[in-house]
Amino acid sequence: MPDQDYAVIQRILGGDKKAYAELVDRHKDRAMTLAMKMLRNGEDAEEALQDAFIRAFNALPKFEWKSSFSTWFYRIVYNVCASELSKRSDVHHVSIQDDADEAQTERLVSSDIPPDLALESSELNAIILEEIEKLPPAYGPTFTLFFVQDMSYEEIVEVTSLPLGTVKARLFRARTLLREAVLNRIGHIREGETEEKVA
Amino acid sequence: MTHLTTKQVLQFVDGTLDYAAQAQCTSHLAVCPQCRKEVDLQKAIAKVSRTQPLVRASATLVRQVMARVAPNRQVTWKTKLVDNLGNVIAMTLVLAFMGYAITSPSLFHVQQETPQQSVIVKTVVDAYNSVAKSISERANVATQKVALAPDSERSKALLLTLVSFLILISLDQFILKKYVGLKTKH
Repeated sequence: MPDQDYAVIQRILGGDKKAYAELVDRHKDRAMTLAMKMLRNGEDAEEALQDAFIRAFNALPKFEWKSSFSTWFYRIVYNVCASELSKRSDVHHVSIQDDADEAQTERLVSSDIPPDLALESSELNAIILEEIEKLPPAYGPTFTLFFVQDMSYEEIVEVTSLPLGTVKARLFRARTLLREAVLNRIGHIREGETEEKVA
Repeated sequence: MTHLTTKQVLQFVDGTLDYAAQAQCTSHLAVCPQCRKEVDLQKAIAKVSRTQPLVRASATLVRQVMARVAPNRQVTWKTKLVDNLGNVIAMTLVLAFMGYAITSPSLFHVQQETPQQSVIVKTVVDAYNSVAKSISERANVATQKVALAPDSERSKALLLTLVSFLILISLDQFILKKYVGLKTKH
């Protein structure tokens, strides 16, 4: 993808503005996923995305290839969404407690996983997907950048301007939260099944 | 037995442990079903997280963005005039020169119309017709290039076209005058 981006960007900088449509088409869905994770509203996310694409187009002559186009572009998307969030009254402020989560990394694995849990089941996959959507807003973007955009910690730092420790802590926290939520859901389902059998 | 930490499990799943730590974890996992189950669960979560369906942007997004960054130019009579400016100038110059050549006897250094003069005038008109045709063809090619040029290059392409026409027409007129002069002397 980076090579394809490079070729298209060269065409755009050479005066072929219409080539930008290829770039928009290539990145729109991944960028939309990030915008949705941050804004949680389709209309706002789409508006932010449109704004981000226009800003990126205008700033394209200044793009110096110090990072990939996607990293640079997601930084714009992230900033536009963050700016939109700051305008909202119900903005979720992430406490600096995030960094304290690093201390929990030494926790040993627990034995709360049901021994007969089918890890390849479609039921588990569906539960995981549902619980990803429920991740707190502070963790969603980092989680999305890591898994959906397939970015490294360093790239996420570049996009979000968060300290490396915070990025690692948020991702760690998101993954442990997700694990707990998934196991809780499975536990509830099994409890329900047992009650039905007893009844 | 000391179990793996959650951090170690996640790093093992991500493949970000160094070689020694990776080997240590692998050895532990071979004998610890509890940690193995934890690794398998985290692998399942990571796999689903990586393949989660993307949120689709609306089908109109590309069009909306492109309408802002590269709007389609409206074809007005002004745009048409600019796009065909090369042709317009070339034909104006050709017509003006032909009109001048035909109506001004002084150009041919002939005071009265004679059979010889008629031949000269016919030669001039024929020669100029071919010149006009040549200019018109070149003008068409040049204006096509201007029309296809991206917006940022448009002004430059147009200017180059105009300069080319002026040079071309000056050259053609010079040759024509020289040719006419020779014919007149004969």
